[in-house]
Formats: sequence, C-alpha cells, structure tokens
Amino acid sequence: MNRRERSFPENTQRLLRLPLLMLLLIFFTTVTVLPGCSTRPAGEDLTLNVEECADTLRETIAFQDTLTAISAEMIAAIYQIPTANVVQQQVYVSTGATAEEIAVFEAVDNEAAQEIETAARERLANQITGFEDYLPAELPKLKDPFIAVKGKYVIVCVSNHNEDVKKVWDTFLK
Amino acid sequence: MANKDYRIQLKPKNRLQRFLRRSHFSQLVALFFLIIALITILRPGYTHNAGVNVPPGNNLPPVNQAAYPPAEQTGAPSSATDAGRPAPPVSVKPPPATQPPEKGVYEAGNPGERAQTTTPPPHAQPAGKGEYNAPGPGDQVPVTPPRDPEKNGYDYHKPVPAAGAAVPDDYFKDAVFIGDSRTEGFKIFSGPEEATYYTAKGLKVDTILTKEFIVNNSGKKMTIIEALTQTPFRKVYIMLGINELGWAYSDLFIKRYGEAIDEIKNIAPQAQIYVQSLLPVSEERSKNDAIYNNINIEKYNGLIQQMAAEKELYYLDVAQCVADPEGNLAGEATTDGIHLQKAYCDLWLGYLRQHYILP
Repeated sequence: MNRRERSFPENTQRLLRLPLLMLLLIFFTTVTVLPGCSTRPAGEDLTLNVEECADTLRETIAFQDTLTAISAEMIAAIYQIPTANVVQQQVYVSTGATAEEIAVFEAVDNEAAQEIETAARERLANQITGFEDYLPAELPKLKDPFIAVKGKYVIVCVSNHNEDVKKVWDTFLK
Repeated sequence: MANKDYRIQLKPKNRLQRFLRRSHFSQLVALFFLIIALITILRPGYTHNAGVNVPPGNNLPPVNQAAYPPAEQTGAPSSATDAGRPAPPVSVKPPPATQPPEKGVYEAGNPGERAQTTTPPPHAQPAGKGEYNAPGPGDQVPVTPPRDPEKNGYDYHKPVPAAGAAVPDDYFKDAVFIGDSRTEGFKIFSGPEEATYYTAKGLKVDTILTKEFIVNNSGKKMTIIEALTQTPFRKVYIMLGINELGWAYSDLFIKRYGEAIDEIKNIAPQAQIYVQSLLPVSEERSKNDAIYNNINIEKYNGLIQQMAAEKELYYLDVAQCVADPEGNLAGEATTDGIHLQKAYCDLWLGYLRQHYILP
C-alpha cells in the first residue's frame, strides 16, 4: 500500500515516529522558548545592585560637576516618590552649578517602577522650568536625559554622555 | 498486509528506534514541546521589550506643579537679564568626589544624621562637627545668647554672636529658609529636615514678591509672600543678592530688599528675621568675573548689614564660616566658584546652629 492508499492518520503517525522529525521539533521548541525567557518583559529574574550601578556611573561618566549622594528623605522630597514604592535607591545630585544628576531605583514591582519613571519625568520637567531662565546651557541635558526602565529597575541620568551611560546600564543588565 | 510493508520499510535499526516506535513516546514528546513553544510565543507581553530606552525627553509630560511643591528650584547667580551677559564659567578643577553621606551622628554638639563627606578646609573645624572657626578664649562671647534684645540692648549693627551651645535640628521646625540656588543646595545637602524651604533658582529681591512657584495643598501656585501668610513661621532665614550683583544700581537692590523684608514683617511681626550675608565666591572666580566677585559681594554685604541695623533685623555673617583667610570661598568648596559642595553646606548649618537669638 502506497502513501495515498493509507489513511491520513496513518501517514501522520508515520511521520511523528521519525526520530529526526522529533528532534527537529525539540530543537524548534528550545530555540523558541529560551530566547523568550531572556526577553521576558517583567525582568523577574534580573537582579541589579542599585548602589553599585549609581556609583559606577558617577565614577565613569565625565560629569562637569561633582555629584553628591542625598538622603532618602530628600530623594522623596524632590522626586515625590512614595517610600512604599521603593526597595532601594541611590541618587546623586549636583551642587546647583549644573543640572547633572544620577538616580537609580529598585521598585517593589513593575507597576511601581512605572510610577517612579513618571515622577522622574515630572522632576525633569520641573528642572527645565527652573533652569530655562537661570542656566539655559543646561537645557539640552534636561531635554535629552537617559531614562530607562527594566522590570522593576529605573534609571535616570542627566549628563552629556547618554551613550556612555547606556553602556554602563547595559552592563548591569547582563 | 499494508502494515507488514510498513514494517519492512521502516525497520528499526537500533534499540532506540524500536523503543520510540513501540510506545508512541516520540509522538507525545513532540507534542509536548510543541505546546510549550506555542504557549511561550502566544503569552501576553512576549514581544514587549522593557529594556529599551524610553524616547528622549521630547515627550516629557507637561509640568504638573500641583503634584508636588517645587521646592527644588534653586537660584544660582543668574546669567540673565539683570546682570547682562555673564563671564564664561571659570574652569575649575573639580574637587575629589564626595563620598555618600553616612547616617550617623552629626558631631555638632547635638545628635544629627549628616556626616562629613569631604576634607574640611584647614582653617575650619571638621565639617561634621558643624563648627567653623569658633571664637577663641580671648573673644568676648556670651555664654547664653541674648534673649530679649530690648532689655539686653542688643546691637543690631553687629552680627549675631556665637552662642555657647549649638541648637539641635528641631530648633528649625518653625523656621523658613528663603533664598536662591545656594540656599537650595543647602536644603538638599545639609538643611534641617524639619525646616521649610522657599527657594528658587535665580530668585531675586523683586521676584520674591512676584514669582509664583510654591504650590499649596490645593495645587495653587503662590508667591513666597502669599505662602508666608498661610504658615506661621517663628524664624525667617533669608539670603538674597548674588543674582543681583550685576544690577546697575546697588541702592535699588537694597531698596527692594528692604521692601521685601517689610512685607515679611507685616505678615509675621513676631518672627525673628535673620538676614544672611552673601557667601563669597572662589578666588579664581572672583579674579575672572566682572560681576560675581568678592569685591561686589563685600559691598553688598555692607549694604545688607546696614539695612539689618536700620530695620532691627538679625544679621548673620555666614560668609565667615566658608571663607578662607583672604575672604575667598575655598577652591575645594565648589566646582563653578559659586555653588557649595556638601561639606561647606555643613559648615553653613553649623554656623546657624551656633548663632541664634533665643525668643
């Protein structure tokens, strides 16, 4: 009996029995699933040292001003972020001579991270208002900051070196 | 018979093939992996990449000042209209990066939480102690600050003298600090958390009456004067003038300053008003800037001190706590010659803690 004479189920059964086909299916599944894990949007498996990331940025990026860490209370005051949304955070601000700033947050969850991002953008908008008459030269930095959200982690960096900041950020995301 | 032909054509060559064929195992495994693949692909959010940079700030939301008090607006020497085109920023080698502050005892004679972050100037006490060049044994310093100026014959022509002991941070819970970007830096780095701060970048003696930037609980923007009417402060610390150094007429500056002070006194007649001297700029900045230099600052400080005497205000000579023996701001204290680093804001706080008038 040739292939056409056999029933469809019989043909299918024959195909599925083939080890080669089975191996191909397994390979296909593996290739599909594993990359899917790495781009899982929740960032559930990502662990990032917030302080280390902020410190690395401060040490490696060529800021014009000296950035100093501020207290948790002051972070909450200037960013207007509820402390309940934050697991850990590190913020460095300038003396006032520039608008440069580093802020790295670990939120309690992804939703809180989105709220932190919103608060950070409002902070930057307010800085633009403050600097536009006072020190207009700082506006380009404020209008093109580096802001990124990865899962529950948020980074905000105001500098002239967004590419370098991204490199550091990507390093910590690996 | 078809089955027999089938067996002949697909005769298993080894044990593995025989096993896979016998038990339909291969079918089940393949089906399982297929289902896993489909679930992974079709799962919600599989295609969302959360690691991509958000588009640059062109998409910043409109300013929503009602969301929070815009306390972070600071004033630094404005390069703006009044002073004309400023001299280019002085290239100053940045001092060593400060270490993050550690929570600990702020050795100012009283417990606190801010720790020294950089090496203090050699002429000053360690910043963490909140002290500056405290008067020596030969100086006549009252052990107890004057309590009642009228009875003790307080001399408003002189700066507030140093007290015998520093006050704790909660002394400032009924205090408001009014100023420009330097005061904002003080607020961020060292200012007592219990105090209130009305600061704005570029704030001047005229915009203090007109600039609406303080947001109240209902989201309405107010001027400083309007905000003062809503909160009964017992102490008012004010430092203005650095942004007006370029004004053509210094008497206009002091006149406007006096008018603003009069408004504050009308709102809070019982409040202690401390007028602070302008902090110096660095030597390099002073030598290279036609406007923001210590000669102009000294001139303005003289006018401020005179105004304080005339209006019976307490004059705080805070400049001495950050000035070197030549009257300049130490180079290590600043990156642009004007704004203070945290360690020097700590010195400023230390000065305020030790210079006060008891109510």
